[in-house]
Amino acid sequence: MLWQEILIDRPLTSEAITLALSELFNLPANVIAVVEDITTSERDEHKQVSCEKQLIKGEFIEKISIYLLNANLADNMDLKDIEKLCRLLHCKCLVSDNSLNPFAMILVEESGKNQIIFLDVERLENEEYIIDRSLESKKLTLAI
Amino acid sequence: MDSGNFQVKNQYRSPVSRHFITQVKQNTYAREINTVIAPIVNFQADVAAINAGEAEYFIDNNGATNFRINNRIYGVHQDTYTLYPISGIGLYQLDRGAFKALGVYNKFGDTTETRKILDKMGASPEQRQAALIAWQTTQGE
Repeated sequence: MLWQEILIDRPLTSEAITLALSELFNLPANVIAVVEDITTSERDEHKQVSCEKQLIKGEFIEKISIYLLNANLADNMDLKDIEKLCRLLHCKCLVSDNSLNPFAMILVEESGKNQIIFLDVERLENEEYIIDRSLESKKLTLAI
Repeated sequence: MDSGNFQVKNQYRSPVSRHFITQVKQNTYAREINTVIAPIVNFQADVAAINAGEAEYFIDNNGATNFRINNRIYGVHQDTYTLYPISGIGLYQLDRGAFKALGVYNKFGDTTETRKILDKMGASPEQRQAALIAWQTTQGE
């Protein structure tokens, strides 16, 4: 199952992602695969987590798609786990909120201070991920 | 729930490309819930009707403005007046895995290759079926 798609504000090595996911899911590193393109990657029955890492445009420059091949790993996972991943990777990230508004995202920081933000509509249409800062004053600080 | 007709003060804009089934790609960002529009839907007519003040509006449980027109519900991103589909005839709500699967069907079709890729993604039978139903609305165009 696709657990999360996470937009990251800095470049990450495959090794760093592997170590962070290993820590997050409490799994040995050798059951985690980090690939550039899951559609062309080789299937390995021993892997429990497959992470697709892709470059994207904008102020968030990498997208990681985390596929859990052992569905039990998703139990009790929530935003706190995204915060932990940010701490492990020393980054900020965006994840979708649970609304249907395609521009609403949650900005997650290492500190655990999370905010609802909105993406720039025009830039998103060009697949660029830029926070619409004209809406800065409307941000809602969440106590999560 | 506040509802009724409304006086049009703004020009509402069409949904962005990620909502159209044929435009979903394997690398399109997958939200927790994603609503996509089948090709049979005349969304331009819906947008025109909303802009003509012909839609019913209501405020949902989260306080957001929604429009109901032609048996479909749209939300609106208030700061740019961009509409987004929510539910109704010709609209499909897909969870994250099903939306991703739709991107694979769009590229590889209903093929063995797609099934192998969805195996690698750990897509559930329900997600594959939801994606396939949405994808099939684009076939025979």
